[in-house]
Amino acid sequence: MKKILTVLALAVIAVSCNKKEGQAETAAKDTLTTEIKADRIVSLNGAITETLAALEASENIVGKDVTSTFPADLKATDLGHVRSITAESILALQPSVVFGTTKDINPGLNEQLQKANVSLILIDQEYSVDGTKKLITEVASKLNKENYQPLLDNISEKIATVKPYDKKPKVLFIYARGAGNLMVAGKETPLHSMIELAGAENAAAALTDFKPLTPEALLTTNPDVILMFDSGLQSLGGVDGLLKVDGISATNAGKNKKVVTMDGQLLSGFGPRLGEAVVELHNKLQ
Amino acid sequence: MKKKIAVYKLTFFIVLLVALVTALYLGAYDFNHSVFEIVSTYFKTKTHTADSFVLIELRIPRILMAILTGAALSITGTSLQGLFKNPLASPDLIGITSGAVLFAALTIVFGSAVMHFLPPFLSYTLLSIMAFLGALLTMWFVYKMATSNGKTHILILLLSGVAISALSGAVTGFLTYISTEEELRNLTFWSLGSLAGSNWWKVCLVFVVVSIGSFRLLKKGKTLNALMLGEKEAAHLGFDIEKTKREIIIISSLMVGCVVAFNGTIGFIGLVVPYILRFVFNSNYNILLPLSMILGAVILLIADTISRTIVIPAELPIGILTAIMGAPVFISILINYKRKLK
Amino acid sequence: MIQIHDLNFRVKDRFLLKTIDIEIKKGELIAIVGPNGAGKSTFLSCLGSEIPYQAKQFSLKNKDINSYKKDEIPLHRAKFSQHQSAEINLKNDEIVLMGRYPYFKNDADISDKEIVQNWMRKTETQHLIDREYEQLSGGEKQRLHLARVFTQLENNVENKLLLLDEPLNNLDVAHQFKTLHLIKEFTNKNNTALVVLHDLNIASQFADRLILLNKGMIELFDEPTKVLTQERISRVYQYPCILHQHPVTNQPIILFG
Repeated sequence: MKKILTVLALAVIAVSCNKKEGQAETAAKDTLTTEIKADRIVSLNGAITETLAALEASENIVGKDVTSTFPADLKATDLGHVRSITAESILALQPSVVFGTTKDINPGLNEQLQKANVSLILIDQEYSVDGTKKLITEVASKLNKENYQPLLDNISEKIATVKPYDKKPKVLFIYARGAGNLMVAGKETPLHSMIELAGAENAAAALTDFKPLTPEALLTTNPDVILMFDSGLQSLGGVDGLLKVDGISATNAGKNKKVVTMDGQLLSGFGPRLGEAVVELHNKLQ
Repeated sequence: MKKKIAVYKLTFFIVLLVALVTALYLGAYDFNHSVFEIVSTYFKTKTHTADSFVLIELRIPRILMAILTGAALSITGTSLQGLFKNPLASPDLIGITSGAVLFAALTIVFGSAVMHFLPPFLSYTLLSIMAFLGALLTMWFVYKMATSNGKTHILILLLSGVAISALSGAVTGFLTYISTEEELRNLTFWSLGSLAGSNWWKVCLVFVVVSIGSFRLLKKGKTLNALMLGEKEAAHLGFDIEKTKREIIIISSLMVGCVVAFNGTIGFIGLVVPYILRFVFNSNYNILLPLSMILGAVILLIADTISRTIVIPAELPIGILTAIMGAPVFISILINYKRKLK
Repeated sequence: MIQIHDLNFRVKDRFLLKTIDIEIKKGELIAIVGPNGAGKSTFLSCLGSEIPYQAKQFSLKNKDINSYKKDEIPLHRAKFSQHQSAEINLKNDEIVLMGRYPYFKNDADISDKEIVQNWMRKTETQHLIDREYEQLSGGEKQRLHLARVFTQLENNVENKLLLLDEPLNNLDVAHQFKTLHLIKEFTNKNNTALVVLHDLNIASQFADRLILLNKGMIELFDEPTKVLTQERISRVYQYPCILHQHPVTNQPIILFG
């Protein structure tokens, strides 16, 4: 009995896999050949939203995700976190095209949108200067907009103004969501790339990805500056709250109360404002 | 007594139908036509409009999945509670759910290399298959631990389940630690449970597994009643106790594994539904088993409908809702139990 | 009706029952007596196929006991056990109705319910229908399970076997005798009953034959008058006793002390 059931189940799975493969192929073909109508756009990534706004497509954005905080006056429905968005909420806005990143999108959602014959454009977001330029170029070309070069030039120019420090500051980025939940950014994070672009050194470069904050790590890395999101520092209760965290006051940054904050989306979004972000960070870290 | 049960069955069924029709109309997406019009238009033209896509490819499968999942979790919870003669028994207790979560975690963290090469839908199906395998393997392991000479010791089974859950929790915790942000988000999302990814293929597969499984479990009413007298007494009444234990455990694992594989972990239903029913109907499993299916379906359908309408356009993870509904009931179970121990 | 040849039951190295040879006729009411630890309950468990014994032969009505199918044997054999569940979350008449489970698939019919009513009346448990099982006294629960066991064997099969392990515990004197009369009624219809009893006098009054067990072996299997001698009883029970004659029935009465 059990054997029959297992075989049956596996058979159904196998068949459904094959069927889906066929469907996805045709869907992929469709997105390449059909023209993308840009009248109702849903953007599920902050950088993409900023790019769209910079390309003067703000009027057409009907839906955005929670990271799309810039421009602040964007009249689009906030759909929440990309991970917990449902196809229905997106489709309720009657979009003609949906933009997202390959890493953030839920594969189930991906499949549902493709079946709904909604043009789904997924961009592989790389957290680097080239990656950002690629993103802007891709978004622009998909919408047949030709006025994107100024955006790329703006980034290159702004970054070129950043002069190396006399003494490279050691920067530690701390991600906070309340005092109980503290993480540091090692390499292979957007924050690491930003710190390096600004000409500084990531104090936690020995670690990879986000790792929990420990007092020992603080003391071995001994950063000169602590970098946080505005919202992160706020959730700790300001600089005073930060200093209360174990080990912080023993670091150079803690002793000198050198804490730098920036807007989250600006700092780690890697969108068109990358240039401004690098300059602002460079100046603040001085 | 027979009439009374029939009345209850009918009432629950009507409630289910009402909930179903209501759920069809509620959601983030507003329809331009009535449900009936949309469906009939689709069948005439065989092509989807935006309305019909949302209704027929998203909402209806989701509603059906909620009904099937609620029914499956409830009937397995009821059967396991009867088998273990313990009101706290549930699929989680014998480790099935932990096994599924563990294998899903392993797949997410270690399989990420493989999964990147696969097209998205296949990697998601892979995840579901691994979760299903996890449930079966855990069940097999726990059952083997507790069975010797063809006899299954219920107490050892429960303890093995607890041990496996603890082990699985520890390994999953470790995986959480070594995982990347992306993997972590995947894992958290999966363990909160969601019916949002339901489609017709999943519904069909779950339907096959759940209907075959329920069909067999529904016949166990007399056996579970007899078990209340004790295993030896039940054997004297002609029941093959070892075969029954095997069957219930295997079928429960299959059903729960399947449901968890597609929807993530949804807690409390298997625990709470039989408990509520027992207040009214005592522990007569001939009544509890069928009613638990209907009541479970109703409760999960209502929970899912609330989860996707209360914070539009976002969704409240369904695990949170079942916990909110289940925790007070769980506490009252404990209070009741405590009172009896005095 | 029952033939047992060379039955042994072992736990690790210890024999709880050794070389039991016995032949029981239809219509007999057999009492199993003996001191604590003699193996009475163990013997009954073997007869009920509850524990793994070794035997050269165990046949019921000339068929090997294992050749009866699992769903067939409840119609021929029932067992009343010494220890019953403390908690059963069902109504009392539903508990007795479980005795009819071998007879219907989904729903009990009128005849099943009538049989339940009948036996609840005979065991004087009818008035307990609306009470909670947990709140019943030990004796009331006992009578309820007796009703269930009798309900199970209410059918047209000939020469049934009823095994009872200390059915009189917790019962007051009146109910003890009423129960024994019910068992006697049962055996008078050409059925067999084996009853483990502690009270030798009750055993001698009601049983056709006695099995006196001692240290896992049959000391003697014969009529009460032959088994109950002063020498034998005081030796087996390791306690002095004297025999007296019942003023009415002239059966032997044992007085210990």
